[in-house]
Amino acid sequence: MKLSHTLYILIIVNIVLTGCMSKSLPPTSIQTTTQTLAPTSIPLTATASPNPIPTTTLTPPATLEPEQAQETIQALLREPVDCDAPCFWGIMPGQTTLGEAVNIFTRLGLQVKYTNARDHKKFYEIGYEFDSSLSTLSLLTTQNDIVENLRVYITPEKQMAGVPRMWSAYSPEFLINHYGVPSNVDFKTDWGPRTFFAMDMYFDRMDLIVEYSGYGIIDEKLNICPLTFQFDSVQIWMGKNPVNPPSSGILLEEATSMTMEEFSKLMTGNPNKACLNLKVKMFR
Amino acid sequence: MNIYHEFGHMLDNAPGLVDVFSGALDDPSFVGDNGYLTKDSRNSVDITNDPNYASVQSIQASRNTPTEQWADAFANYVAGNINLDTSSGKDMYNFVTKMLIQNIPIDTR
Repeated sequence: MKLSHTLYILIIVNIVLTGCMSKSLPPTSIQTTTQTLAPTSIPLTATASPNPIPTTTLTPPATLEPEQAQETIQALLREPVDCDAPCFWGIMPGQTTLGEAVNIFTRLGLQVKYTNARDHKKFYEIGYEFDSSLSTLSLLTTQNDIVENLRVYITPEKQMAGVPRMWSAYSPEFLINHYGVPSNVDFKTDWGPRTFFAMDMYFDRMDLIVEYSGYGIIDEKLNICPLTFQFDSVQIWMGKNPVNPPSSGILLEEATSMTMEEFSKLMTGNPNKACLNLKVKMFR
Repeated sequence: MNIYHEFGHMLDNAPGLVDVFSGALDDPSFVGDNGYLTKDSRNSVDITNDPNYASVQSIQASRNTPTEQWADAFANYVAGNINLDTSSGKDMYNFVTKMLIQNIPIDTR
Protein backbone atom coordinates (compact mmCIF):
# COMPACT_ATOMS: atom_id res chain seq x y z
CA MET A 1 0.00 0.00 0.00
CA LYS A 2 2.75 2.36 1.00
CA LEU A 3 4.78 1.37 -2.07
CA SER A 4 1.91 2.01 -4.48
CA HIS A 5 1.34 5.39 -2.86
CA THR A 6 5.00 6.28 -3.42
CA LEU A 7 4.83 5.09 -7.01
CA TYR A 8 1.76 7.24 -7.58
CA ILE A 9 3.62 10.31 -6.29
CA LEU A 10 6.62 9.54 -8.47
CA ILE A 11 4.44 9.23 -11.56
CA ILE A 12 2.87 12.62 -10.81
CA VAL A 13 6.29 14.16 -10.25
CA ASN A 14 7.52 12.52 -13.44
CA ILE A 15 4.73 14.14 -15.44
CA VAL A 16 5.34 17.54 -13.84
CA LEU A 17 9.10 17.39 -14.29
CA THR A 18 8.87 16.15 -17.84
CA GLY A 19 6.64 19.11 -18.59
CA CYS A 20 9.18 21.45 -17.05
CA MET A 21 12.08 19.90 -18.90
CA SER A 22 10.39 20.11 -22.28
CA LYS A 23 10.31 23.88 -21.86
CA SER A 24 13.66 24.40 -20.24
CA LEU A 25 15.97 22.25 -22.30
CA PRO A 26 17.90 24.44 -24.68
CA PRO A 27 18.62 23.28 -28.22
CA THR A 28 22.31 23.95 -27.73
CA SER A 29 24.61 23.81 -24.79
CA ILE A 30 26.28 26.74 -23.12
CA GLN A 31 29.60 27.64 -24.66
CA THR A 32 32.20 25.81 -22.67
CA THR A 33 35.25 27.51 -24.09
CA THR A 34 36.93 29.64 -21.49
CA GLN A 35 39.25 32.31 -22.71
CA THR A 36 42.37 32.95 -20.72
CA LEU A 37 43.34 36.60 -20.59
CA ALA A 38 47.00 37.31 -21.07
CA PRO A 39 48.50 40.42 -19.52
CA THR A 40 49.44 41.73 -22.95
CA SER A 41 45.86 41.61 -24.15
CA ILE A 42 43.96 43.49 -21.55
CA PRO A 43 40.72 45.20 -22.51
CA LEU A 44 40.59 48.70 -21.16
CA THR A 45 37.43 49.90 -22.82
CA ALA A 46 34.11 48.25 -23.46
CA THR A 47 33.58 46.88 -26.93
CA ALA A 48 30.51 45.72 -28.76
CA SER A 49 32.01 42.28 -29.18
CA PRO A 50 30.66 39.51 -26.94
CA ASN A 51 34.24 38.45 -26.28
CA PRO A 52 36.67 40.56 -24.30
CA ILE A 53 38.74 41.62 -27.27
CA PRO A 54 41.50 44.02 -26.32
CA THR A 55 41.42 47.60 -27.50
CA THR A 56 44.32 48.98 -25.49
CA THR A 57 47.01 47.32 -23.48
CA LEU A 58 48.73 47.86 -20.15
CA THR A 59 52.34 47.06 -19.52
CA PRO A 60 52.40 43.46 -18.30
CA PRO A 61 53.94 43.00 -14.87
CA ALA A 62 56.82 40.70 -14.06
CA THR A 63 55.54 37.36 -12.81
CA LEU A 64 56.79 36.14 -9.47
CA GLU A 65 58.51 32.80 -9.19
CA PRO A 66 56.06 30.09 -7.98
CA GLU A 67 57.60 29.98 -4.49
CA GLN A 68 57.48 33.76 -4.18
CA ALA A 69 53.92 33.82 -5.49
CA GLN A 70 52.84 31.20 -2.96
CA GLU A 71 54.41 33.16 -0.12
CA THR A 72 52.70 36.33 -1.29
CA ILE A 73 49.31 34.66 -1.58
CA GLN A 74 49.74 33.05 1.83
CA ALA A 75 50.55 36.45 3.32
CA LEU A 76 47.50 38.01 1.64
CA LEU A 77 45.23 35.32 3.09
CA ARG A 78 46.71 35.76 6.56
CA GLU A 79 46.50 39.55 6.70
CA PRO A 80 45.41 42.09 4.08
CA VAL A 81 48.20 44.62 3.60
CA ASP A 82 47.14 48.21 2.92
CA CYS A 83 43.92 46.97 1.44
CA ASP A 84 40.81 47.09 3.62
CA ALA A 85 37.52 45.54 2.52
CA PRO A 86 35.96 45.65 0.04
CA CYS A 87 39.48 45.70 -1.40
CA PHE A 88 40.78 42.22 -2.22
CA TRP A 89 44.47 41.71 -3.00
CA GLY A 90 44.61 45.29 -4.29
CA ILE A 91 41.40 45.08 -6.31
CA MET A 92 38.87 47.69 -5.24
CA PRO A 93 35.35 46.98 -6.54
CA GLY A 94 33.91 49.95 -8.40
CA GLN A 95 37.36 51.39 -9.11
CA THR A 96 39.84 48.80 -10.36
CA THR A 97 39.78 48.13 -14.09
CA LEU A 98 39.78 44.62 -15.49
CA GLY A 99 43.21 45.28 -16.93
CA GLU A 100 44.61 46.28 -13.58
CA ALA A 101 43.04 43.22 -11.95
CA VAL A 102 44.52 40.95 -14.62
CA ASN A 103 47.93 42.44 -13.93
CA ILE A 104 47.57 41.80 -10.19
CA PHE A 105 46.76 38.14 -10.77
CA THR A 106 49.35 37.77 -13.52
CA ARG A 107 52.06 39.03 -11.19
CA LEU A 108 51.10 36.13 -8.92
CA GLY A 109 51.30 33.70 -11.81
CA LEU A 110 47.53 33.17 -11.87
CA GLN A 111 45.47 32.86 -15.04
CA VAL A 112 42.32 34.92 -15.48
CA LYS A 113 39.64 32.97 -17.37
CA TYR A 114 36.67 34.57 -19.06
CA THR A 115 33.65 32.43 -18.19
CA ASN A 116 30.38 34.15 -19.03
CA ALA A 117 28.56 37.30 -20.12
CA ARG A 118 25.03 38.26 -19.19
CA ASP A 119 23.05 41.35 -18.21
CA HIS A 120 25.80 43.62 -19.64
CA LYS A 121 28.30 42.03 -17.23
CA LYS A 122 31.24 39.76 -17.86
CA PHE A 123 32.57 37.16 -15.47
CA TYR A 124 36.11 35.95 -14.93
CA GLU A 125 37.53 33.31 -12.60
CA ILE A 126 40.94 32.83 -11.06
CA GLY A 127 41.87 29.68 -9.18
CA TYR A 128 44.78 28.78 -6.94
CA GLU A 129 45.59 25.58 -5.06
CA PHE A 130 48.16 25.26 -2.33
CA ASP A 131 50.09 22.08 -1.65
CA SER A 132 47.94 21.72 1.45
CA SER A 133 44.21 21.22 0.97
CA LEU A 134 43.70 25.00 0.98
CA SER A 135 42.46 26.46 -2.30
CA THR A 136 40.86 29.66 -3.51
CA LEU A 137 38.70 30.58 -6.48
CA SER A 138 37.97 34.22 -7.18
CA LEU A 139 35.06 35.23 -9.40
CA LEU A 140 35.11 38.77 -10.80
CA THR A 141 32.01 40.56 -12.07
CA THR A 142 32.90 43.35 -14.46
CA GLN A 143 30.83 45.99 -16.18
CA ASN A 144 32.31 48.46 -18.66
CA ASP A 145 35.67 46.89 -17.84
CA ILE A 146 35.48 47.92 -14.20
CA VAL A 147 35.46 45.23 -11.52
CA GLU A 148 32.00 45.74 -10.02
CA ASN A 149 32.22 43.11 -7.29
CA LEU A 150 33.86 39.82 -6.53
CA ARG A 151 33.14 36.54 -4.84
CA VAL A 152 35.90 34.44 -3.36
CA TYR A 153 35.59 30.77 -2.46
CA ILE A 154 38.11 29.51 0.07
CA THR A 155 38.39 25.82 0.83
CA PRO A 156 40.15 25.79 4.20
CA GLU A 157 43.01 23.48 4.94
CA LYS A 158 42.64 20.79 7.58
CA GLN A 159 42.96 22.67 10.82
CA MET A 160 45.48 21.59 13.41
CA ALA A 161 45.33 22.57 17.05
CA GLY A 162 47.65 25.44 17.86
CA VAL A 163 48.37 26.23 14.19
CA PRO A 164 46.88 29.50 12.90
CA ARG A 165 44.42 29.10 10.05
CA MET A 166 45.90 29.96 6.66
CA TRP A 167 42.88 32.14 5.82
CA SER A 168 42.90 34.13 9.06
CA ALA A 169 42.42 37.45 7.23
CA TYR A 170 38.80 36.38 6.77
CA SER A 171 38.25 34.72 10.14
CA PRO A 172 35.45 36.06 12.38
CA GLU A 173 37.88 37.33 15.00
CA PHE A 174 40.08 39.18 12.52
CA LEU A 175 37.15 40.83 10.75
CA ILE A 176 35.57 41.98 14.02
CA ASN A 177 38.89 43.24 15.38
CA HIS A 178 39.60 45.01 12.11
CA TYR A 179 36.19 46.35 11.06
CA GLY A 180 34.24 46.45 14.30
CA VAL A 181 30.87 45.00 15.26
CA PRO A 182 29.13 43.35 12.27
CA SER A 183 25.93 44.85 10.89
CA ASN A 184 24.26 41.45 11.01
CA VAL A 185 25.00 37.85 11.81
CA ASP A 186 22.72 34.96 10.95
CA PHE A 187 22.77 31.17 11.12
CA LYS A 188 21.44 28.32 8.99
CA THR A 189 21.21 24.63 9.76
CA ASP A 190 19.95 21.54 8.01
CA TRP A 191 19.84 17.97 9.19
CA GLY A 192 20.05 15.67 6.24
CA PRO A 193 21.57 13.80 4.58
CA ARG A 194 24.55 15.34 6.40
CA THR A 195 24.22 17.92 9.15
CA PHE A 196 24.90 21.36 7.72
CA PHE A 197 25.75 24.62 9.42
CA ALA A 198 26.40 28.11 8.08
CA MET A 199 27.11 31.42 9.75
CA ASP A 200 26.91 34.64 7.75
CA MET A 201 28.54 37.89 8.85
CA TYR A 202 27.56 41.17 7.19
CA PHE A 203 29.67 44.34 7.32
CA ASP A 204 27.43 46.74 5.41
CA ARG A 205 29.75 49.74 5.65
CA MET A 206 32.48 47.75 3.89
CA ASP A 207 30.18 46.01 1.38
CA LEU A 208 31.50 42.78 2.81
CA ILE A 209 29.71 39.49 3.47
CA VAL A 210 31.44 36.34 4.70
CA GLU A 211 29.80 32.92 5.00
CA TYR A 212 31.37 30.07 6.95
CA SER A 213 29.80 26.67 6.33
CA GLY A 214 30.48 23.05 6.96
CA TYR A 215 29.06 19.55 7.13
CA GLY A 216 29.04 17.28 10.15
CA ILE A 217 30.14 19.95 12.63
CA ILE A 218 26.95 20.46 14.65
CA ASP A 219 25.00 18.22 16.95
CA GLU A 220 21.39 18.35 18.09
CA LYS A 221 22.22 20.68 21.00
CA LEU A 222 23.46 23.29 18.52
CA ASN A 223 26.48 24.31 20.53
CA ILE A 224 28.57 26.10 17.95
CA CYS A 225 32.23 27.16 18.11
CA PRO A 226 32.93 29.32 15.03
CA LEU A 227 36.61 29.86 15.83
CA THR A 228 37.52 26.19 16.13
CA PHE A 229 35.05 24.48 13.78
CA GLN A 230 36.57 22.76 10.75
CA PHE A 231 34.64 24.61 8.06
CA ASP A 232 34.39 23.14 4.57
CA SER A 233 33.91 26.49 2.95
CA VAL A 234 34.48 30.20 3.50
CA GLN A 235 32.82 32.42 0.93
CA ILE A 236 33.39 36.14 0.63
CA TRP A 237 31.36 38.71 -1.28
CA MET A 238 32.88 42.15 -1.75
CA GLY A 239 31.47 45.21 -3.46
CA LYS A 240 28.00 46.46 -4.23
CA ASN A 241 25.28 44.32 -5.83
CA PRO A 242 26.88 40.98 -4.91
CA VAL A 243 26.07 38.10 -7.25
CA ASN A 244 24.19 35.24 -5.60
CA PRO A 245 24.68 36.48 -2.03
CA PRO A 246 23.95 34.02 0.78
CA SER A 247 20.34 33.34 1.58
CA SER A 248 19.11 34.82 4.82
CA GLY A 249 19.18 32.73 7.98
CA ILE A 250 17.96 33.22 11.52
CA LEU A 251 19.34 36.42 12.99
CA LEU A 252 21.73 36.29 15.93
CA GLU A 253 19.27 38.05 18.25
CA GLU A 254 16.56 35.46 17.46
CA ALA A 255 18.85 32.46 17.35
CA THR A 256 20.54 33.28 20.67
CA SER A 257 19.93 35.59 23.59
CA MET A 258 23.05 37.61 22.72
CA THR A 259 23.41 41.12 21.40
CA MET A 260 25.75 41.87 18.50
CA GLU A 261 28.20 43.48 20.92
CA GLU A 262 28.22 40.41 23.17
CA PHE A 263 28.76 38.17 20.16
CA SER A 264 31.64 40.34 18.96
CA LYS A 265 33.25 40.28 22.37
CA LEU A 266 32.93 36.50 22.50
CA MET A 267 34.47 36.07 19.03
CA THR A 268 37.47 38.24 19.89
CA GLY A 269 38.19 36.55 23.21
CA ASN A 270 39.70 33.16 23.98
CA PRO A 271 39.16 31.04 20.81
CA ASN A 272 38.67 27.86 22.83
CA LYS A 273 35.82 29.45 24.76
CA ALA A 274 34.23 31.23 21.79
CA CYS A 275 31.18 28.96 21.68
CA LEU A 276 27.50 29.77 21.83
CA ASN A 277 24.26 27.86 22.04
CA LEU A 278 21.67 28.39 19.34
CA LYS A 279 18.02 28.05 20.35
CA VAL A 280 17.11 24.60 19.06
CA LYS A 281 13.43 25.49 18.66
CA MET A 282 14.34 28.20 16.14
CA PHE A 283 15.96 25.65 13.84
CA ARG A 284 13.46 22.80 13.98
CA MET B 1 15.34 19.40 -3.33
CA ASN B 2 15.51 15.84 -2.16
CA ILE B 3 12.73 14.77 -4.51
CA TYR B 4 14.74 16.16 -7.45
CA HIS B 5 17.76 14.22 -6.23
CA GLU B 6 15.77 11.01 -5.87
CA PHE B 7 14.21 11.54 -9.27
CA GLY B 8 17.75 11.75 -10.66
CA HIS B 9 18.38 8.31 -9.18
CA MET B 10 15.17 7.08 -10.76
CA LEU B 11 16.32 8.20 -14.20
CA ASP B 12 19.67 6.49 -13.63
CA ASN B 13 17.85 3.27 -12.72
CA ALA B 14 15.12 3.33 -15.37
CA PRO B 15 14.87 0.29 -17.67
CA GLY B 16 17.46 0.61 -20.40
CA LEU B 17 19.19 3.50 -18.64
CA VAL B 18 20.80 1.78 -15.67
CA ASP B 19 23.96 3.74 -14.76
CA VAL B 20 23.88 5.54 -18.11
CA PHE B 21 23.98 8.97 -16.46
CA SER B 22 26.28 8.24 -13.55
CA GLY B 23 28.51 6.05 -15.72
CA ALA B 24 29.20 8.97 -18.05
CA LEU B 25 30.86 10.96 -15.27
CA ASP B 26 34.54 10.86 -16.07
CA ASP B 27 36.40 12.92 -13.48
CA PRO B 28 34.37 16.04 -14.27
CA SER B 29 35.45 19.52 -13.16
CA PHE B 30 32.27 19.93 -11.13
CA VAL B 31 33.13 17.12 -8.73
CA GLY B 32 35.72 18.03 -6.14
CA ASP B 33 38.47 16.00 -4.55
CA ASN B 34 36.07 15.04 -1.76
CA GLY B 35 33.70 13.40 -4.24
CA TYR B 36 30.89 15.96 -3.87
CA LEU B 37 29.85 18.74 -6.25
CA THR B 38 32.22 21.70 -6.08
CA LYS B 39 31.04 24.83 -4.27
CA ASP B 40 31.57 27.07 -7.26
CA SER B 41 29.40 24.89 -9.51
CA ARG B 42 26.34 26.01 -7.53
CA ASN B 43 24.82 29.43 -6.92
CA SER B 44 24.09 28.60 -3.32
CA VAL B 45 25.20 25.99 -0.83
CA ASP B 46 21.67 26.01 0.52
CA ILE B 47 18.31 26.39 -1.16
CA THR B 48 15.56 28.46 0.37
CA ASN B 49 12.82 28.25 -2.22
CA ASP B 50 11.11 25.39 -0.47
CA PRO B 51 8.22 26.86 1.55
CA ASN B 52 8.30 23.98 3.99
CA TYR B 53 11.86 24.49 5.19
CA ALA B 54 14.06 27.34 6.36
CA SER B 55 16.90 26.02 4.24
CA VAL B 56 17.67 22.84 2.35
CA GLN B 57 21.09 21.68 1.32
CA SER B 58 21.89 21.83 -2.36
CA ILE B 59 23.97 18.70 -1.80
CA GLN B 60 21.66 15.79 -1.07
CA ALA B 61 24.24 13.06 -1.64
CA SER B 62 24.53 10.54 1.14
CA ARG B 63 27.84 9.27 -0.23
CA ASN B 64 30.48 10.55 -2.63
CA THR B 65 29.82 8.05 -5.40
CA PRO B 66 29.05 8.68 -9.10
CA THR B 67 25.38 7.76 -8.68
CA GLU B 68 25.07 10.41 -5.95
CA GLN B 69 27.04 12.92 -8.00
CA TRP B 70 24.68 12.49 -10.93
CA ALA B 71 21.61 12.79 -8.69
CA ASP B 72 22.97 16.02 -7.17
CA ALA B 73 23.89 17.49 -10.55
CA PHE B 74 20.38 16.71 -11.82
CA ALA B 75 18.77 18.13 -8.67
CA ASN B 76 20.67 21.41 -8.93
CA TYR B 77 19.78 21.62 -12.62
CA VAL B 78 16.07 21.25 -11.88
CA ALA B 79 16.32 23.67 -8.92
CA GLY B 80 18.01 26.32 -11.09
CA ASN B 81 20.99 26.37 -8.75
CA ILE B 82 23.81 25.81 -11.23
CA ASN B 83 26.28 28.71 -11.36
CA LEU B 84 26.73 29.50 -15.05
CA ASP B 85 29.39 32.11 -14.30
CA THR B 86 32.02 29.52 -13.39
CA SER B 87 33.76 26.91 -15.52
CA SER B 88 32.67 24.01 -13.36
CA GLY B 89 29.07 25.24 -13.25
CA LYS B 90 28.96 25.50 -17.03
CA ASP B 91 30.48 22.04 -17.36
CA MET B 92 27.82 20.65 -15.04
CA TYR B 93 24.97 22.36 -16.88
CA ASN B 94 26.25 21.12 -20.23
CA PHE B 95 26.74 17.59 -18.92
CA VAL B 96 23.21 17.35 -17.54
CA THR B 97 21.54 18.84 -20.61
CA LYS B 98 23.61 16.69 -22.97
CA MET B 99 22.77 13.53 -21.08
CA LEU B 100 19.07 14.32 -20.92
CA ILE B 101 18.85 15.20 -24.60
CA GLN B 102 20.77 12.09 -25.61
CA ASN B 103 18.87 9.66 -23.46
CA ILE B 104 15.40 11.03 -22.87
CA PRO B 105 13.75 11.95 -26.16
CA ILE B 106 11.53 14.95 -25.59
CA ASP B 107 9.41 16.46 -28.30
CA THR B 108 9.96 20.20 -27.85
CA ARG B 109 7.76 21.24 -30.77
